Amino acid sequence: MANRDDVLSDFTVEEELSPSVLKAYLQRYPEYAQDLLALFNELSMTDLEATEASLPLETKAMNAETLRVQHVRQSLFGSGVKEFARELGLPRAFFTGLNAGVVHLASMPTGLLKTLARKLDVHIQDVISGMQQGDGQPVSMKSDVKPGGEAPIEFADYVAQANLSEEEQRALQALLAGDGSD
Amino acid sequence: MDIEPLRKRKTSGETYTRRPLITEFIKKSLQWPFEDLLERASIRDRRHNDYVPSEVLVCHLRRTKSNNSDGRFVDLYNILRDRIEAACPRSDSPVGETIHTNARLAEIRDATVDHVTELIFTDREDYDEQLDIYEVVFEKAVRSAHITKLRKVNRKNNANEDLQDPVTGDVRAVVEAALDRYRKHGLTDEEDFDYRINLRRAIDPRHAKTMDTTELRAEFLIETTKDGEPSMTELLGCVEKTVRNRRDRAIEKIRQALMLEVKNGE
Repeated sequence: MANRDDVLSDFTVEEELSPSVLKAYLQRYPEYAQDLLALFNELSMTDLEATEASLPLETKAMNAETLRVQHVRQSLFGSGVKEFARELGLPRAFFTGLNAGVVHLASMPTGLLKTLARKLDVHIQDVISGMQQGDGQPVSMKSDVKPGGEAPIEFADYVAQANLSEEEQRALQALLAGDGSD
Repeated sequence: MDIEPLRKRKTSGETYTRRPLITEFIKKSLQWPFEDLLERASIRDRRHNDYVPSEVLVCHLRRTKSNNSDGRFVDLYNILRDRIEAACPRSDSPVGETIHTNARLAEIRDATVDHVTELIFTDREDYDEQLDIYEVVFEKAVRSAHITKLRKVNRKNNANEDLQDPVTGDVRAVVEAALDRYRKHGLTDEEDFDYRINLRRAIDPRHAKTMDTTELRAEFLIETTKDGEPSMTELLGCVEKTVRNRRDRAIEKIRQALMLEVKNGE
């Protein structure tokens, strides 16, 4: 049997989303009839809203997302870092250094981003925003590294320089593997 | 400069392909300095002559894999993230001078952004074919992810709905229908296990007091003489007789419910 996500993807990339195309999919994949109907409805609306969506976006107001990002920053770089670091079994400095100015964001492992998001009860994009905003100050992961002014390093190099104990390395591996011991 | 073909295949075996216009745009944009691309990419008005389609930006974002040392990835990610949000139905609407947020729509939008963000990061670690569709039909792909999240949230919300009609107090028709579905067909061991778990959950909100007692029964004695060990009477704040009555009622309800199902399953 075809995978649901694959069928819906195929339907999405169809050049023309007409009722006859929908009918053909419904006949071929009756088991996904509800998903296909919902998707057809949604994609038909996309065309209708295209004109509206072309208008410039509004400036983001203070919203839930802003609060979530604040929570991330507080937990990684602010007053919450002590407790958060203790809970995850890693040194405080490890988290305060998880700043886009220190670690190249693109090199962050997906597993770690997902685990941090889950632990903090936020979305992955909130962790990324928090890391980009940092604490507003140049951050150094170690006292012997000059803060600011240097290109961010790869996450793997950051870990190698963090001098983690064996126990801390195990804790990090658990986080990377998405092992949430909530 | 070569443009790597997409890898995902349709169920028919055909490979996903970028639209010719997008391919042309990518070729053209690869000649621009990165700063120019960024400047144009920041234009959000699709009617603008210099507007860069999102499919093109996804291609550029994936190409930053070959150069991890600068901030190109982050710059492009931030723009694409805004575009994913823009492709979702708006959760904010102005009412007078204030902005009202539809929490449900905002939740679904955030889950959609989360999904695509995860795809972007997994693609950096190892090519993720699921991201290919965003180079073919970006907005439709976002909408597709959005509808999947919406259906998940709806399922979750429906599961949290009260079993009884708040006005009449009768068991809701949809619940009756669901029960009926189970009763008409024999249950496999797996379904039976699933059903029993759901039954416990179903009874819980309606008979919270009696179920509290049942939950506690597994762990605590009604009365205890051991120092520091909590008893059911302490935890529920009731006298021993009340606890015993509640426990007996809870056990009876579960027994009746399960007996009923066994009978109907015959």
